[in-house]
Amino acid sequence: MTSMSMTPVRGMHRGPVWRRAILCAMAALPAFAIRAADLEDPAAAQRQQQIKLQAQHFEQLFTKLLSGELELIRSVCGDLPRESRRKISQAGVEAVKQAALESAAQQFGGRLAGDGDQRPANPAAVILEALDKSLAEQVPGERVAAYREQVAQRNDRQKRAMIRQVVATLDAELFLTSTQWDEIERSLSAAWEDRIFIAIGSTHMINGRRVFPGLLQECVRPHLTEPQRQQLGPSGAPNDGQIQNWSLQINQLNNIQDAGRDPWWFE
Amino acid sequence: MTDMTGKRNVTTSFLLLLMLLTMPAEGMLRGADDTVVDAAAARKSDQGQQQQRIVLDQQMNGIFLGGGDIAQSRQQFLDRRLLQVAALADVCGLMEAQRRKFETAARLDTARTFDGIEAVRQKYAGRTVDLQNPAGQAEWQRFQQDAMAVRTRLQETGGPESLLEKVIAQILDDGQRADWRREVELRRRHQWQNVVDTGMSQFDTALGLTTAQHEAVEKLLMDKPLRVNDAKVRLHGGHVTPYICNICKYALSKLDQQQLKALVNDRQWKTLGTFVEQGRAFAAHLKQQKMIVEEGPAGAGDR
Repeated sequence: MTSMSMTPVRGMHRGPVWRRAILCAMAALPAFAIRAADLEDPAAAQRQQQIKLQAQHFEQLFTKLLSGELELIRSVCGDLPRESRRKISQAGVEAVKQAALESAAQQFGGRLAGDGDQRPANPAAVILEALDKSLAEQVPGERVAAYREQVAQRNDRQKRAMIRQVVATLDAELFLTSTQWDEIERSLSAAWEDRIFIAIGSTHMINGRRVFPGLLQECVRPHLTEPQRQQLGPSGAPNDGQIQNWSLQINQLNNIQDAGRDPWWFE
Repeated sequence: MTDMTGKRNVTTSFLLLLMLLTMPAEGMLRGADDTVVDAAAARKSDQGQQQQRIVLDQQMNGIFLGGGDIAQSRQQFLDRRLLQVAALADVCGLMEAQRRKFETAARLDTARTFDGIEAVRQKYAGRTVDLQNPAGQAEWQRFQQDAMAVRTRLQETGGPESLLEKVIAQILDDGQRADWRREVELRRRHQWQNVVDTGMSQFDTALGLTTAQHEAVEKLLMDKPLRVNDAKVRLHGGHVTPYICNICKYALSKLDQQQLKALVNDRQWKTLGTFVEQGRAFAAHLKQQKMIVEEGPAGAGDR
């Protein structure tokens, strides 16, 4: 909320003296800063306020991602000089803020003003990238390699978990045999993209059949019997909103109770 | 004199301004507008009352898989049971006579299930509840319980009460029975691995587990599998991940806590301990919703 008082009111240096005086006075008060801007462009001001509030919420959630990641770095990289620890953790904190703002901006209308990048903001990737970069600057190469190896193994585990969830959802509809289960897992694993899982979260029923948006049919259909194929039906394409929707992963962070900052990193 | 008039004018202007600012917005519309406002308010009130009345027939129809078409819903229900028969045939190599018996059992299961559903439909036929009075609220609650039972029956592919499940052991010969038991165990392992992997993903994120730690916790969970009623979990549509995570946390709470604690450091235990507590807190809900089956070893036909 502090940053709200810094919000300049558009038009506060234009117009008659009385108008400028009122706008300047309102801008000086945090509570009125946005309202004053409303006089000029209420929709834009409202969007900015929503983004700021949502970014604060995301910042709390993404801090949990950072805590887990710093714990892994500490486990793998061992003792680090105090100055290095502070630089790495600071890079993480900045990345959390950036990821929070990007995700909030995306939620309320696409992208940040002036940012031409239309890619979906994956908060975990933003934070990991910043930590990895800082780590590479602060820590000997072999320890960085060990950390990267751990991250790669975790990514593999998460991919496996997502694939299992997709196949379990199919099984609930198609009564797969254990052999089919294995075969579909292998096929999906070879062609996996994270968006498949995100899309599978939006499965829904149409005329009594569960629809799997974005499911790679070529990985599934060859392993099914004819009656199962008929039961599966068409999958439909995922829309852009589904592809860019990270809310499934973000929502899960709500269930994690943060243990608080590890002073080893921040003292 | 001019000064006095000026002062009076300023005071009058100030009072007028104050009156304008403090005047309620609704008070500004009066006179000829009254009719319009009153009609709009009455319409709004009517709409509100209509929103408080619920036609139960319509609600019940919406629950059926076929969007209200009971014949289509019935066929889809039967088709899913026949998929189970097809799996039996694939795994056990059924003879034609055995296949026919299983298909008959599937049809009887379908008939019995839809007889039960029809009874519930008849119970609420032509009924409308008014949520503005306590009797209507109570009936709405009863309806919701019955509707949930209907949805569960439609979602379940088998279960110990199903005729198809009951006759599997009788119809199969010894070799086929052994094959099917093995298949049931493999399917169950797949389903449990899904629960563990989904839950462990969250633990990985929150605790920063190394691969060695992850594998050690995973092994503890895989060695003590719970029986999960997948159909109950799937009642929540596509958004089942939080429920699966809760089941995994419940499984954590059932592990030897000293053994679990020894696998992580003190900082990680602070967070892992909260997951264990969440798991304990969810226990009653999971059991009440029958997402967890806490009974002895089930028969050969269990899913």
